Amino acid sequence: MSTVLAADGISKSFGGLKAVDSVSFELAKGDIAALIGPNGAGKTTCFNLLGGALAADGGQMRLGPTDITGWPPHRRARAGIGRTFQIAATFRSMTALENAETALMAADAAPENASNLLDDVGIGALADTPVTALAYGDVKRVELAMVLASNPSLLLLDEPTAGMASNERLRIMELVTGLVRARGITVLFTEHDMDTVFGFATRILAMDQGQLIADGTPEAVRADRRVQQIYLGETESGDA
Amino acid sequence: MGFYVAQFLTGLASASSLFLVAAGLSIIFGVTRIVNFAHGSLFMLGAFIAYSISQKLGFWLAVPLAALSVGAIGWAMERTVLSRLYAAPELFQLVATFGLVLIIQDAALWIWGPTDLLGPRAPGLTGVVRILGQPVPEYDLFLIAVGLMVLGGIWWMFTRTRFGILVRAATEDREMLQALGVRPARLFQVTFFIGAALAGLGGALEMPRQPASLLMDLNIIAEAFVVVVIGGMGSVVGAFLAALLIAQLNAFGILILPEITLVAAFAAMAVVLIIRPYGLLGKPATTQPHAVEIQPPQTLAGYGRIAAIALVAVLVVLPLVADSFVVVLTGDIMIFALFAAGLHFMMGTGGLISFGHAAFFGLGAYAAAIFVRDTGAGMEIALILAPAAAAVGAAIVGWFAIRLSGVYLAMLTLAAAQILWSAGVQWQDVTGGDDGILGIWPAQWASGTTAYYYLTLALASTGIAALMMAAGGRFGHLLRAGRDAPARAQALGIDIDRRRWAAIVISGTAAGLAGGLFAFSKGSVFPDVLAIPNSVDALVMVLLGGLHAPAGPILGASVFALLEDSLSRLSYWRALLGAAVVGIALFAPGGIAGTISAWLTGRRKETA
Amino acid sequence: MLDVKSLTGGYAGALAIEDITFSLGASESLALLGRNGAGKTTTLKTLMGLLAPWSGGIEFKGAAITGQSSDRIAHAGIGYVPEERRIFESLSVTENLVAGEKPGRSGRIDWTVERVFGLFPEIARRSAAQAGTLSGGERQMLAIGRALMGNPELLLLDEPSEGLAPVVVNRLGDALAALRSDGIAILISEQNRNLARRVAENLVILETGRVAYRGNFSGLDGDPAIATRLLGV
Repeated sequence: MSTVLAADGISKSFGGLKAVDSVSFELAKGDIAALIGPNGAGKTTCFNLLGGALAADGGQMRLGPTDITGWPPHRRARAGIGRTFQIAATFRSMTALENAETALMAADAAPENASNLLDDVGIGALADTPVTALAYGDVKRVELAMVLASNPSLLLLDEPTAGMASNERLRIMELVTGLVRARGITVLFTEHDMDTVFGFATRILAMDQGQLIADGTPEAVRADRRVQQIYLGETESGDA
Repeated sequence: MGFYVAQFLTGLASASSLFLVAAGLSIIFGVTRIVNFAHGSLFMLGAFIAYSISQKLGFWLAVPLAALSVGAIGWAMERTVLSRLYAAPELFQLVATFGLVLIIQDAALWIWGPTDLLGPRAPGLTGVVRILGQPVPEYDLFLIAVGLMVLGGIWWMFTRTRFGILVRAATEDREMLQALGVRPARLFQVTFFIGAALAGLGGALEMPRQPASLLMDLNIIAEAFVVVVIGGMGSVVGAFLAALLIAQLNAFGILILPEITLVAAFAAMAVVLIIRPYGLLGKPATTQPHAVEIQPPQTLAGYGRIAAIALVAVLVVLPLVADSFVVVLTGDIMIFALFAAGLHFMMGTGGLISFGHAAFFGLGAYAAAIFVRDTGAGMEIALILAPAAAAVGAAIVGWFAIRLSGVYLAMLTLAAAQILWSAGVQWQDVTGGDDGILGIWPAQWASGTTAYYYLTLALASTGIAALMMAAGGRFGHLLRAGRDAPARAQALGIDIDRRRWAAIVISGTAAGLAGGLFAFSKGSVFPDVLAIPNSVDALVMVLLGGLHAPAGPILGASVFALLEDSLSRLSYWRALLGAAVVGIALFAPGGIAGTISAWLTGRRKETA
Repeated sequence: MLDVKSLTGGYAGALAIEDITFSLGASESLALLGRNGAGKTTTLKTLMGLLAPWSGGIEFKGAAITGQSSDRIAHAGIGYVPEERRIFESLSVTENLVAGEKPGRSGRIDWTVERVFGLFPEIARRSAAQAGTLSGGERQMLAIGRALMGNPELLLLDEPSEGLAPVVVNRLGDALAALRSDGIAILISEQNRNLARRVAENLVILETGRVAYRGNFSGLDGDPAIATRLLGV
């Protein structure tokens, strides 16, 4: 299988704190990988390093054969990385359709395809609604339509189900996985909801204190002793 | 050697009042996140009030009493206007303090009259001391001591009083401080009082050095902006270092080449911003508030094109039916509509605030005038040169501007315009100084009132139409995307820095063309075209018409011109304008178009 | 002391907690457990007035505090120790404590800088140091001390153990237990169950923004399946 993304020893410190400490992994085409870990483990920083919002202190990143270390976010986007944000970010002065059109323009694609994109994410009927008037679940769908506009090879999804009512979580994840499978897109997502993680990920990366502590199939990671310790809140000393 | 020491001490003395103003500005910004454009006005009030008090009570009582009075004025400003705007987009906070500048300016004119007032000298400090053989005024030494004492006093307050500790804590994390039980309102009031009192003190202490004058406010605020940008917003020590730097640059620069002092300050700021974008001792802002309200454009739906065609048709027919007064007035309105449309493009669509847009208008006007005067060549080339010169100016300012945002951008543009204005006044060999450049007339074929009107109509309507199409098209969508959600836009592949830069250059180009047209329309150019009031006019037109309506600049320029025509003969027209600006910021942030559109939406909802 | 009824809220249109209900008796303590993203931080921020509740009610000592500003909630007698600690980094340790100083509800002043230093000698040694230079554990102690300076009757602690070494967590447990025996009520959100159980008897587990379990630690220990389902992977 061909490697879509390779991170090689990427690191980032804030002050004295190593938020991401020499993390290495590779994603193969078609992977739907979940990045999990407790608060402060370094997931968001890791995402920002991959998306280019933060500059890495060290290490290398490759997208396919291309070295993208040091590239600004807009250049990475053009190279094929799409990302969504933990709190869905859309252009609030625009309708759903205009958001999709703008995303297509940004990718030098024909804005006429915007309504198809909205149909793909299931909100074709809401095209002319201002995004400020949409339910949050639909805003997340608009954002998804936007990142699909450039035909990315890799999607970074920062908590795709966060902020959604419980009954909607399953639906959005089914939508996402259906779309990426059909288009052969590789996905890396962070997620807190374990049902979502184990329900959809084909592979799991676990972080703690800035380091990658496990990487493997869902079964293997679930059985990992260190992962269990972190999640069940037992300290190493195991006292009390 | 002695001469240089004396010059150095003069520089230090000047640094004192600059520091007092900049420190107050910086403390207020740190706690309230508001850049108080009226801070220079408080300095000016300090000088005037001190003058008045000194006539009855003498110098030494006048200084502290003036500082306290100005503190009280600052407190009242916070209570009446700014406290209502803490949650508003930055633009309206800035605009409201700008409105206060105009109001205070006219209030001072009304109370103290137009002539400069030279106060008494400080009793006991009227002599000179000889240092290395050079005479140094005792008062200068006193000022240096005061500057150091105030720095010490602020340091004492910040580290030894609970209030000072709270100010520093608020500068760092206001929300956390509130969660500890500290009510923000009271902290803000006291901060404004202290910040204003420092500016008032600075103004009062200037009494023996320079007369109180109505020009003091904008002169000092432009310098103070340079100082706080260099020092780092919110840092008092930074303000002190930067004030020293600027004052010394002035003191020694003037020896080499008087004109260079203006550029030197700006160049120093430029260098600092390249190396440290947040100033010498500043820190990057943790949260970036929105510069303008995020709103969809208020278009005329399907009627936009028809309305535009109808308007052009009316304008084409106008000279056939109207008298020449109306034709000239309409021509001026079109020039200002183009100027405003450029600013509107940058601010409305781009979310980039400019408080010094007259810089580009003036660059265009002067470029055209200087070219015609020096080469004797014709209007046609001059009208190409005008927007080109403005575009170059905008490219330079824009290059710094994209590194900054929001309030920094507003300060940078204002400082740039103020420096260009000073150059217009002082660089007499090139600009003719206050006498301006005369005899700039259109080419033969365009020289009649009607002919020039049609030329203006052709160029202005083309320019405005081009701006509207850019705003509504691909460029505008991608620019607006960067305004609405910068991180999202970048993650979609939009290079927002480059697009913002382009927006500033386009905006400046339109202003430059308007400036060129203006020069030939009047037949002359004076430094007024670069002055702050000209920037304010453009700003008012944009806000009055509606920041989010494509037709806003046309509407705004028209209403403004009609108002100006009927009201500007009133003695206190500027204060009215200021009150209007404050009123828009407080009550009608959408301007005329926004208010009408909100009203229509309300009605539609009612009937539905 | 604290009654939370059907609290629903979130950030910028994104729902984070839904229909949260629990209560706390006088001088009682409660642990809020759950994986990250479960809604613990949102719950505490909403209680503290840092986020406006979308619906539901909050009563503290019989008076409604729903939707009030955070400074009024602080003055009602609630102290807050946020997840990121949010100490004022440019201020000294002592200055941080002074910034938190305010009398309790009836004008009582139980806490002074000296008493906080007595509780946390680790930061007393660094009283003049800039807070930005403190270690993670010292920062947490300072954040707790700063909240105590406001003489609260209820302390909200958001994941105090996060990012700290086990011995430091142990040390914090001692200090919090001491505060408990002093009669201060504590609402602690934690992923570290060992610390939580030293502070509280009763617990509420949140999962994806809703209350998924309500009980006490002995009940939870007797039912490891629940713990694995709601807290494990």
